[in-house]
Amino acid sequence: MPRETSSTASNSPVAGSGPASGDATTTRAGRGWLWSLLGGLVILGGIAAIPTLGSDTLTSNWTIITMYIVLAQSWNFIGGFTGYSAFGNVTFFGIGAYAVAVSFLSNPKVISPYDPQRPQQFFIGLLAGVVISAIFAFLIGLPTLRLKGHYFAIATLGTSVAVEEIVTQRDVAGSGGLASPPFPPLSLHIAFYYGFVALALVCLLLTTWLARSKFGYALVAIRENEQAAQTLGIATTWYKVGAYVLSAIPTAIAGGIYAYYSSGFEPATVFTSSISVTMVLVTFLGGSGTVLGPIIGAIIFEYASQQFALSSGQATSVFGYHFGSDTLLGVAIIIVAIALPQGLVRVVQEFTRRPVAGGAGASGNSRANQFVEGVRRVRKFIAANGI
Amino acid sequence: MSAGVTGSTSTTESDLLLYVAHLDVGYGDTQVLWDVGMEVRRGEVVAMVGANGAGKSTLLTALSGLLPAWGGQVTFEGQDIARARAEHIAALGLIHVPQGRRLFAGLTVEDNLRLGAYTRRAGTERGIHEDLDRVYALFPKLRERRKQVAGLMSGGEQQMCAIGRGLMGRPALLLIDELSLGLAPIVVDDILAALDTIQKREQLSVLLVEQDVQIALERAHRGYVIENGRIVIQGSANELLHSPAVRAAYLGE
Repeated sequence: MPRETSSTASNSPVAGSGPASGDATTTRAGRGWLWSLLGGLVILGGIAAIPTLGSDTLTSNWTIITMYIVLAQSWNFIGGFTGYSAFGNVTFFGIGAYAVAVSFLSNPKVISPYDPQRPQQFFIGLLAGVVISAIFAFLIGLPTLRLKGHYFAIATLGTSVAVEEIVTQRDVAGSGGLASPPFPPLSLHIAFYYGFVALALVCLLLTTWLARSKFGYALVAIRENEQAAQTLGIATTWYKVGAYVLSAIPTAIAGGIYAYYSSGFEPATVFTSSISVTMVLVTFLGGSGTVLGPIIGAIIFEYASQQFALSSGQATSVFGYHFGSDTLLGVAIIIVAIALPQGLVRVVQEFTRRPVAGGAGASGNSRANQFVEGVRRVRKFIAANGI
Repeated sequence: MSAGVTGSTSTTESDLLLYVAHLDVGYGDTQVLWDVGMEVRRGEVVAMVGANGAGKSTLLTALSGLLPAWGGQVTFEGQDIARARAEHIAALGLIHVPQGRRLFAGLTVEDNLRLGAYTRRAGTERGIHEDLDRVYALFPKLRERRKQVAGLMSGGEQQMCAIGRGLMGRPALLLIDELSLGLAPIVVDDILAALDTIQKREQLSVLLVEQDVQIALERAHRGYVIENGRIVIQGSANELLHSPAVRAAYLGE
């Protein structure tokens, strides 16, 4: 039946001035997502080109950086979009790594490293890691995602410690969890590199989709106000669990690739909470809940910590203390928490943001004016969010 | 004009939209609502008034499914919703505009409104677009501010946004909790006038929960007075407004 309102409502914007109602649909979130996607593609393209420079050191450094990009991107799904500070996502990384190790060990018939069945074992392991991690995230998420704030963080942290303990005690993949599976020597070392790059690309596309989709908006609504989200008809429990599972899957694949890449590992290295903390930190450094944030944060932090580790290798000791890369991690956490809780990407957005239409229309005509205005906004922004 | 928002020609079926009987609700071990009974008919504005702590907000949270009912009966559009999940109830068209607005503070006004259309009731992109226009026509301030972050607006604008977000869900019944709280009287008047317009035009049913007895009873058809978790008086709004007991207890006479 015709509603009287729809006719009156659609008449008024035509008669009235102001922004035409027609762009309400098209400018929904602006074109920001497109620039973010392009930016991400350019960055990943640049990373993909690094091995062509021919430096093995550079390539292996960037293998790890790219791995952290993937880890941060996948943490962003639960931590950034949904706003649940998961501090145990390393669990899925470890599960992925052990699934690959067990897969190689479980086929004793394959003896020769050059057996054609070898690569197959790797992919079976990856798949198993993904499935187990997803199920695990679902089962753990269902009860823990009822918790809020610190309680959720602690529960997830506890999960990773528990799984590490189980792997150690049950001698998974070797005594005490010490895994050195018979990985075939891979002549194409670069395969790991592009494995991580491809994974980062998939995560980039997934994040861009999330930033615009109904599913992603539901996650953001949960982050902004969970109870209000519920009253609007969003099935919050299932969305939260979905985001958690979504963040577990790429993490598990990254763990599986890392297992092969490292050629041997132990529970303490693939379940270490410092990986969990790094995921959280770099995402916040770049800007949690944004498309580019995790990528930029991971590159800056991991690059810096590698440089720092190099120089501290040459005995950076103050008052007898040695400062390793964990020191940088600690310092970075403090700086980000105090000064940049919104992340670098949002600072840049704030700088380039055009003033809201209809507001002070005196947006600087000269570039210099715009720059000054931008700096003022950024200072205000930092003052409002940090110290 | 019987144009219901739901699109159903409702004159033949039951006029009863919401029916509550013997409802008990509480937090933990503490019971807050005792044997509450009330109803809202189609196209009706009902006021629920009472002092601070009487259980008004608790009643709304229970009705919208955020808080489980301990016992009793809640029927909405003929469906038993006493134990339904919040998202299911919202999808049925019972939309809660919570106390303190509870906007998605970091999102723009328009994103907030769009999220109001989350349930399938709101329909297609075109339908959502129409509803946006409808809300903007009702609250022109929101159109001006559509790209602004919701958390940075004034209290009145936030309340408009919250009500607009509720309307985006195409409610059959809108529950509004403490509309006037913390707002200047002139702003409250503006918002109520807008709400009045849309209520009359669309035969929207509204349950207005208010501490400000005068405001609520002036607009409502019927009213309930809740005290210590129990409904103590009920009647037409006019009766209540002139009842000596109500005037003595709430209007300082």
